[in-house]
Amino acid sequence: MELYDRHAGVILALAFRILGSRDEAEEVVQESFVRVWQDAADYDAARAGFRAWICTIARNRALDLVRRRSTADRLKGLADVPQSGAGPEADVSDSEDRARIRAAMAKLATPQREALELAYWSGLTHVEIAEKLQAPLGTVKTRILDGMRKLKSLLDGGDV
Amino acid sequence: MSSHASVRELLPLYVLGILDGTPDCEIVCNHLATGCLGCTRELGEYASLAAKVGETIAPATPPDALRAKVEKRIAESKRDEPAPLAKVLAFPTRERWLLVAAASVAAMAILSAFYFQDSLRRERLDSFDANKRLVEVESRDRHLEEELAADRDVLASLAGNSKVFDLAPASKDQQGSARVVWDRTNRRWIVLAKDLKPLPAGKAYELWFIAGNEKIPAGTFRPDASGSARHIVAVPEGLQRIDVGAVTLEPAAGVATPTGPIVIAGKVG
Repeated sequence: MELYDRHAGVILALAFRILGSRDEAEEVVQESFVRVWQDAADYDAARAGFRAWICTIARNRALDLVRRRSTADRLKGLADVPQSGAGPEADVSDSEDRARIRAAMAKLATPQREALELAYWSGLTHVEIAEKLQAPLGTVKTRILDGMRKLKSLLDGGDV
Repeated sequence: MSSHASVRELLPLYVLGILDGTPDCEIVCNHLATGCLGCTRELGEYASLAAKVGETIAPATPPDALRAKVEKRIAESKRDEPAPLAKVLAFPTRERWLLVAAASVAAMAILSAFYFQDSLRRERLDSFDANKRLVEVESRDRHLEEELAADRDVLASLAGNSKVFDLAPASKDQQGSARVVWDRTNRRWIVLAKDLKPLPAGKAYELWFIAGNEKIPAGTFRPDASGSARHIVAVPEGLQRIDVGAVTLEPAAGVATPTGPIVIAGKVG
């Protein structure tokens, strides 16, 4: 349960941000740690850090729940999702890594960052993201692709 | 079949899950299932990157009761057997999607679509992991096969018409040793060196056949990280007598006449 103490807070915050529901977010936390327990034999630290692994599991579970909602509900729910670094969370002292990633995200062009954040947090498909942003589908795909590549370059190159 | 370049452009979107249930998702899945090393590696990099976006969030404070709930769920859960590799590599085919949709009433079809979408997302990351492990295992297997073949080669030489002698440090400043198998049948030397010092930049170890006053170059080699090296060289036609084998430290491209210090040497005997 040491892993719980170290990571449950982030998982809960991540799930709540996607779902907007405390109860559902807590359900995701439980399911994520159960999945970690069940798949522990398959975990390879060389493949990904534990935090990255459990965040991926939690996000997938949260998206499962989001995608059971109607499209209208999902698009409506986006209005309440805070942007990176905004809201009360930002008052909590950040780890160096978190600050570095946030700084890299801030360096992305606004259309790229917007599209990438919607892709990560909203559970929308790329078609729905294009509808939300009122942009052509090809443009949205390019923004996300360019945003990811730029983010990778910033974090790999240490230029943050 | 989609081009490799077009699949690479889809990888970041695939990792984010925004292609789920679309033809683009199936294109990526099918391509990864071929074991493409480049795309598998790149997918892993994007997966790690995508996870970092999630880590930008500051942690919330879990309620006390949640910890107990997690402990209880873990205690109740049954640890599953890992899925066989064939299962995680077997993606739902387009035909399977169509069969399910055709066989169901409207409500059941929607539920089934959610189920397969969910399975596909889970299997996406499982398959990436399985592909990466498969590539790593195949790479290790190839390396082991190469080493085994080299060892068998040495054994075959020893079983035939061969002479074995050792090379030792030429002075107390030097380090390393080697065993030389002179395979007379195949007219070659197999040099098995160990404990050699790491090479300075731009340098290599060079082997010499020494016959009387004549010093004949016999190729350069570099030790691995552990200081070991395996060097095989043909003995020139017409060279019947070799008195000494020696290794010197030379420029990386090798030289025609020794210029550097003798590292290890030994009489052929």
